[in-house]
Amino acid sequence: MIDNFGDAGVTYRLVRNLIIELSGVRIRLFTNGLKAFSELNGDIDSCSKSQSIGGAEYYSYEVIDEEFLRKYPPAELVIEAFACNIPQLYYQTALNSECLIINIDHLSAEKWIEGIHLKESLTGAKAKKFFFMPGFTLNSGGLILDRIHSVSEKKQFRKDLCRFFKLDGDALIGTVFTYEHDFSGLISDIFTYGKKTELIIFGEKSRSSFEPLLMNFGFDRMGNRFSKKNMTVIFAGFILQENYDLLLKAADFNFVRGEDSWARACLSGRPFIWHSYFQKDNYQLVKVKAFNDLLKSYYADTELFGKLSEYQTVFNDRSDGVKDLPFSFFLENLEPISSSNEDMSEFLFKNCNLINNLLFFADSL
Amino acid sequence: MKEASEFRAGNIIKSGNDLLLVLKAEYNKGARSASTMKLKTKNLEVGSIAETVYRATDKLDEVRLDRRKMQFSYKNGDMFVFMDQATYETLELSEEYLGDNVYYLKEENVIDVLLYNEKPISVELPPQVDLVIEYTEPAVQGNTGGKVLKDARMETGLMTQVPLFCHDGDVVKIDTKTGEYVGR
Repeated sequence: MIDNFGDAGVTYRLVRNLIIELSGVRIRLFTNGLKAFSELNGDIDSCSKSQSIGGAEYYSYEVIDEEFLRKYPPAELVIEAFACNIPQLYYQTALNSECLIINIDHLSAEKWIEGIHLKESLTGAKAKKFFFMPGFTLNSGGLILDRIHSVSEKKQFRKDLCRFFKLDGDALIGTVFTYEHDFSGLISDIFTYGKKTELIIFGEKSRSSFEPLLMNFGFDRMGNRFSKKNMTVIFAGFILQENYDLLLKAADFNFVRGEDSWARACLSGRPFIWHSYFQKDNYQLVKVKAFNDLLKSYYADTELFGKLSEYQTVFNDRSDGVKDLPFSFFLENLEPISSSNEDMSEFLFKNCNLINNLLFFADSL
Repeated sequence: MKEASEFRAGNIIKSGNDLLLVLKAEYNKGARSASTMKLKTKNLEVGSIAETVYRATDKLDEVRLDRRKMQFSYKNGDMFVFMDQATYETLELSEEYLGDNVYYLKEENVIDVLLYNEKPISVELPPQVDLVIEYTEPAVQGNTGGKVLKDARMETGLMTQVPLFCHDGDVVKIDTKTGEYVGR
């Protein structure tokens, strides 16, 4: 596991959904980071190397030895998430058995993923191995859809959210869960826009990006709540996956990052900006361009899309001295952005069900 | 054993009992370090062609073949004719076996021809070759950013991208592994 809540988040979501789809099938999850899973599900004990929770068995990598594999031979279907390097002993044993190994790779909007989706990776052994590429198109593996939240659930959650965080239900509510970023432009633009806006900040990296800025801008502090003019900023603790999914849907706009929250934002149908994982030589901009190209087909208003894609590109440009473009166009166009994003969400729910695609493929072999 | 990312057209992989000739190798940079290598291969025993995918860091068995230095003489239909400069013996290789290597073959170039059971099956290219730009769009005025590239077709039919300052007829160095422009 490389990244605590991205990698763990996707695999935990995968497990939860497989449990629902495959009743009666035993699911074992092996990880080198049980602590992250214990954050995602309070019932999981990060100190216990093997445990059975909610229909799945959770194991630390350390339990894998010859005795363990004699008792629990490799499964018929082994899912290797994000080329994570399955412990050698398990992998070698799996290769020499009749099992199917599927490497579920990172999510990307790039076209080339369609060319390698479901392609075989020759093992030279008994086991067969294939690449499975999550994505946003018919020819990709799709996304873990989880469940569709109804309009009434969303409304109720917004009410609960306002009560819990003491928010004004009529204000604009935004969430921020990103990597480190200079948000000074965003704060200035919200001041200029003038409408009452409440930002809920998640994760250490977003928090550490905002903290010094709130001081510099002279926000008044009350615990984890900061206020100035028309803007309130709240530092929130960790929340459960399902609540985060609902929050994205209940908010007026979202800043998301990496993989799992990016996928959730796409499914939410709400306006959002994606902060991509930083890669050497600013390579993340290639990924962002591919996503912008994909988004384009959902936007009839080319001028609005032009501004959105430009903002998202510059937001992800980690070159020295690059400053965010004005955010005001986004706040002024929440409705049309939402309408286009709803179209994308509808397409994804209708055509891009990762769990169905995965199980159908495994069954077909 | 060598990493999948190092394979290119003309290499042979041993998978189980099969010998696979790489016809095309495509590297894709994934998120973080999870890059992939897509290989189009031809099974040397049964002749079947398949596309397979590997993590860039996967270790694959490479088979070293006999090789002979030969000059590429000319193309006859879809056959490429090579000549041993010492014995004047000629060997023919079809386009099907050469895969993407055809984009880097220029008449009179001397390269290694690879032999399996004394039969030619592919060639091994130098890391870079000089190719003439057959066609590229003229540069647009004002578009002079540092890394801006434009499409170009080389004399061998290879489509790649070159810097804006390149023109038709220029000789440029091309990386035979990636097909990318290296310099002039």
